[in-house]
Amino acid sequence: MTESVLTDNGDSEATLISRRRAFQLAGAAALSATALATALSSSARAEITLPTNDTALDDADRALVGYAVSLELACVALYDAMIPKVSGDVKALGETLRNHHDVHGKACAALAGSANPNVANATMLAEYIEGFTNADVATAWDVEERMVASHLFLLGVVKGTKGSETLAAIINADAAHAAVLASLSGNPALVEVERTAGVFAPADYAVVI
Amino acid sequence: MDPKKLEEVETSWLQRRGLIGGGLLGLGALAMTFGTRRYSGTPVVSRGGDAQEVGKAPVQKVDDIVLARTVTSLALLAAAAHEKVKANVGDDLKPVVDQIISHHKTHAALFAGITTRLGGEPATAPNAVVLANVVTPAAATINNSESALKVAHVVESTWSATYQSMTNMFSTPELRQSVMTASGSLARHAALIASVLPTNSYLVPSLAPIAEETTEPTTADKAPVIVLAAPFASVAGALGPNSFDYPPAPAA
Repeated sequence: MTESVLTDNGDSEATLISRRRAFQLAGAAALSATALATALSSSARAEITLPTNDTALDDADRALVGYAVSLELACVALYDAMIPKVSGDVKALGETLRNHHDVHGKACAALAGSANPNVANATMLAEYIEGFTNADVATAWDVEERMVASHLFLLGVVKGTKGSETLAAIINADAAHAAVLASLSGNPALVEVERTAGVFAPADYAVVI
Repeated sequence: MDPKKLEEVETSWLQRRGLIGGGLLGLGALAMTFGTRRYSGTPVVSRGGDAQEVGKAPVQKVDDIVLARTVTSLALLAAAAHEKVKANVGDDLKPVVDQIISHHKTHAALFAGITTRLGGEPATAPNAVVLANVVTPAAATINNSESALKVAHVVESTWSATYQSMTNMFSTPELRQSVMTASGSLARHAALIASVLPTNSYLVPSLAPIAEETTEPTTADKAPVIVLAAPFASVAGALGPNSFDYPPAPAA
C-alpha cells in the first residue's frame, strides 16, 4: 500500500508498515549476525595445530637419495638417446622431460651430498637404451611409471623431511609425464593409474661407481 | 488494518520493550552483584560493566588419525564432485570419469583403512568446508562438457597438490608414501584431463575431442604439447591448511 492512512494514534499506516519492515530487516540482520557468528565460531571453534615433523636426513637417507640421482641421470641419458630420433612435438616433449629429470637429479644430488654417485644407473640404462634409441614412446612411458613407483618406494623409507618433500614433488611431476606419454603412445591412460609395481629396486639396480 | 489491532500491536510492543528493559536491568544488577567478587572470599572493587574474559578457543590437535580422516573426507568429496562432471560430458568420456571416481573411492577406502589401523574411526562424509567453499561454487559453473572438464581439472590438480602438501604432516614415511600414492594418481588424472581440454586434444588419440570444439581443426597450429610447466609439482595450488574441516576423532 502506498497511500498514507492516518490511524487513531496519529501514526500513518505507512509509518507502521515501515516500522514493521524495519523489524523485519532487524530480524534479518540478527539472523545474518547469527549466521556470521556461527560461521566465525565454527572457524574459531578450535585452533588448529598442524604437526611439524622436521627431521634431518641421516646417512641412510642420503644413500637413498643418492640412488635416486643415479636413476635420474639414467633418464637424462635415455632421453638424450631419443631426442635426435624424433621431431616436432615429440622432440619438444622429450627435451622437456629430459630437462625435468636433470633438475630432479640435481635436487637429489644436493640432498645426497657426499653420497651422490654422480653416475647414471648402468643397469637401467642397459635395459632401456634400445627402446629409447628407437624412439619408442611406450618404452618412455614404462620408464616414467617405474620412476614414479621407485620414488614412492624411496618415500616410504626416507625419514628426513627435506627428502620426502623433494621426492613428493618429483612423484607428481613424473606421474604427469607418465600420463602424457601413455596418451601419446595410444594407451588408455588411466588403466595403470594405481601402478606401484616395477620399482627400480636398489638390490637389482645397484649403482656401480 | 483495523486501528484497534494496530493499537494492540503497539501496546504489545511497548510491553515487550518494557520486558526487555527490565530484563536488561536485571542482568545489569546480576552482573554488578557477581562483579564484586571473582572468586569466593576474594574481595575486589565493585564496578559496573566488568570486562568479560574471553576464553581461548580449544586447540584441535591434527595428528595422523585426523589427517587420515581428512584425506578420506576429501576423497569422498572429489568422488561426489565428479558425478556432476560425468553428467555433463559426452558418452565417450563417461568411462574415464567413472574410472576417476573409482580411484577417489579407492583412496577413501585406503585412508579409512589407515584410520582404523591407527586406532581411529574412519570419516564417512565428504569434507563439509571444502564442499561449501570450493566444490559447490565450482560445480555451479558447469553447463557443458568443456566447463565440466575444466572443473574436473581443477579438482584433480587441486586435490593432488593438497595431498602433496600434507606429505610431511604425516609422521611416518609409510603414511607419506600412502598419501603420495593417491596424489600421484590425481596428478595423472589432471594431466590426462588437460590433454582432452581443447588446446591439447590431439594428444589423446584414444579419446574423441570435445564435441563443441570440433568445428576448428585441432591439429593445425598445435598448441604446446601439454602443460608440464615445471620439473617439480608445486603445492602452490593446494588448498591451504586452514581451508579444511579436519574431521576430529569422534568422542569415545
